[in-house]
Amino acid sequence: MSETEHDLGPLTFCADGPLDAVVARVAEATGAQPEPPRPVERTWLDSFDWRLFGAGERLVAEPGPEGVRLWWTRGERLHRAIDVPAAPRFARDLQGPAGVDLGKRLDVRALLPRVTVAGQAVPLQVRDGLGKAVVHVEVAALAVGEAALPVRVAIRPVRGHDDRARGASYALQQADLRPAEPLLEVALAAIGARPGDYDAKVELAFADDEPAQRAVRRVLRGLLDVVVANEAGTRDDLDSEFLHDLRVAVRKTRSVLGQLARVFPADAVAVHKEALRWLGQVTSPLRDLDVFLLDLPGFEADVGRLGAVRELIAERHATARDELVAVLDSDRYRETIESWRAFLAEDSAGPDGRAPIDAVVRARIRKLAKKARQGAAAIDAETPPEALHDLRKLAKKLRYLTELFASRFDPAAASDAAKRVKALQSKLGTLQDLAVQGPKVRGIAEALLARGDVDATDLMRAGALVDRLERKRLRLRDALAEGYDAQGLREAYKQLLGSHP
Amino acid sequence: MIVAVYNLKGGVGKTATAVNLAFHAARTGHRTLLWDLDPQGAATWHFRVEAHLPGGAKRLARAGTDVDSAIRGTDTDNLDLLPADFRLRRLDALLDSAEAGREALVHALAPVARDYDLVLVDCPPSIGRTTEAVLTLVDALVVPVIPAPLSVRTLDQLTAFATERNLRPRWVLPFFTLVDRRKALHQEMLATLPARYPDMLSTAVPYASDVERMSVERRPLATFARNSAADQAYRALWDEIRGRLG
Repeated sequence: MSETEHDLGPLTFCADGPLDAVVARVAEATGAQPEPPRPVERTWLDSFDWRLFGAGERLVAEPGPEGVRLWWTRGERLHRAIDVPAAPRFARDLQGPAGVDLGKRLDVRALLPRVTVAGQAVPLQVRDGLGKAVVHVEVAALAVGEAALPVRVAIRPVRGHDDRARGASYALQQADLRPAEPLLEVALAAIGARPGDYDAKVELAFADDEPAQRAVRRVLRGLLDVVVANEAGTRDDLDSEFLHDLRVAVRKTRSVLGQLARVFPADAVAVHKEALRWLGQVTSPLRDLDVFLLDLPGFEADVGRLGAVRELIAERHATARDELVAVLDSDRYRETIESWRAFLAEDSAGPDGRAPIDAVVRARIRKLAKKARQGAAAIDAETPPEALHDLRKLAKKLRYLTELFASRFDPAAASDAAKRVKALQSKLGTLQDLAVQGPKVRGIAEALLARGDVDATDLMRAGALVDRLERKRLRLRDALAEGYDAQGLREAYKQLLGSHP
Repeated sequence: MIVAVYNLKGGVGKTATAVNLAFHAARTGHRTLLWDLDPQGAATWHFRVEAHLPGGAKRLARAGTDVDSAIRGTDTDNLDLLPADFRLRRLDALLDSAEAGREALVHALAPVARDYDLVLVDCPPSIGRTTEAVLTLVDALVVPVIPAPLSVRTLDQLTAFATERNLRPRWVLPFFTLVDRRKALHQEMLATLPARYPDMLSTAVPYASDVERMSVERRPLATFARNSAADQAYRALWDEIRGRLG
């Protein structure tokens, strides 16, 4: 899609020839007055999973009067220009509404530099009779590294003067300038990349008669790609989502391998299940601490600053990260990944491996859905925590299969079923998290006390937090005791299993 | 957030304050609308926009109309202007009989309010129906005060006016402007007044010829006298207001 808006015409063009010649053509065509050329260096910032790009937005950093100027565009319009001392890494690094706004897109993800262009740019303005700019135009000769891009011309509309932007667009088309592809895509292509090249979701299509072992291997290869894609970010601690995505991909892998075990030879399944269990296990401590750090601002909003707790968690986090980096650098990790990849390249099959994937997946989902429905229907005030925890794990397995093989069903039915089972899983998950968090905070407080470097305020706040978490858990447990819409879950899966792509 | 720069006394630097605060708000990433409600149109002049509001004061007083199409982008990124119009001098009278009454400005702004993080209103130096409508509209009043008894008296008059009508905004933030520290009276007021007005902002904007030059340059101070004493003061004033408003 080119950078255009239907009502204004194309707003980005490219032209052959040197910068000054293009500037002259643009000035003549539009009546815009050029300013002197200036050097530019622009870096696109986005999260690893392209959250801004996915929302139709771009965030570009360039040197500015305060240090860095951020240009945040939504579609072709400027959304915000922000002068800051340094480019933000997280949304929280931006003060005020801009930070809140960015947080809605990024959540906890970090901004990463995706590509940089540098060169010369000439700003031009079309001004009205009072001397105010009514259209901004820029002509730029840019390069990505050594790779020069064709000279680009970009029109930036000014609110209240769309007619003038439309006029400038028309004039440039009449002057034989060619509408251009968006600069981000062009710059990325120059380095062999493209935006949106990472997605933690594995969504594949399957042929009706595709043998199960082949289809499941394709899914597992997709999940392995997610694991590998997140290794570097986890190692460099860019943000907590790298490890999260890595762990979710491992968990989905283990779940699929467990649920569809009969697709592969039993001995291979046993070996790889054990290796993947280890991978899940060694990544747990850091993730637990990540979650605690992410929850900490909310805890502190409730009970006040937890200074010593925060320090101890940060200390443990640093240790856990070093340990995880050592794991990722270890022979065992490399061999686990290589051996798993080699297995996924085979075509060995277990008892169900040659059967069509459709039949295999439907049978398994049917069985899991029945168990989940029965478990959900049985929830009452007496249900023991272990049973709720097991039900949560079951719901998660069902959800993973539903999502990974969604293309075998009607899309709306698949989406509805996944949403319902996710709701059950989330509710039970929050309960489980609360059950774990309280004792964890107590353990931290005890550790601080044992070290003798904690003051009474910190301890009292930690105590208040434990109390609040427990009360919240009990409230949630009471709400669960009122029952869950197991019938809704049943209907959703009946619809799903009766549907086809 | 809607903030009005107001003092019923003229010549206290309201427009310079509104223009420069709007600039610094925009610079720090706030999508900002400067609404020039003063029929003299000085803020509009500073941004080189024609002082023309189609429909004039009637447009603001009439129910069911909005101001979207009248808004103009300025040469400062993130900063748009809703221009003044000389016919706004009749706004007081029109609001007197307007169906929406005090709420008229709220209705006029509502359709575009979501486009902005901050709406700064440059008010006319008067007190009446327009003032009531502004007080109904805003979250905060920023009140430039010259450190002299007559100027301070207008602050008391404003406070009494707002309290009588039960229209006191959440924040009323006076600050000293046109300060000449060579004058003993200014020194004295600077030292004593904050105790009487605990919400008073600590930033004081000095008297500076650069501020007067704004009307010649027709642009905000920072774009031609960056880091001058007055620019630094407006920068600090914005930071302080931002901190207060949260």
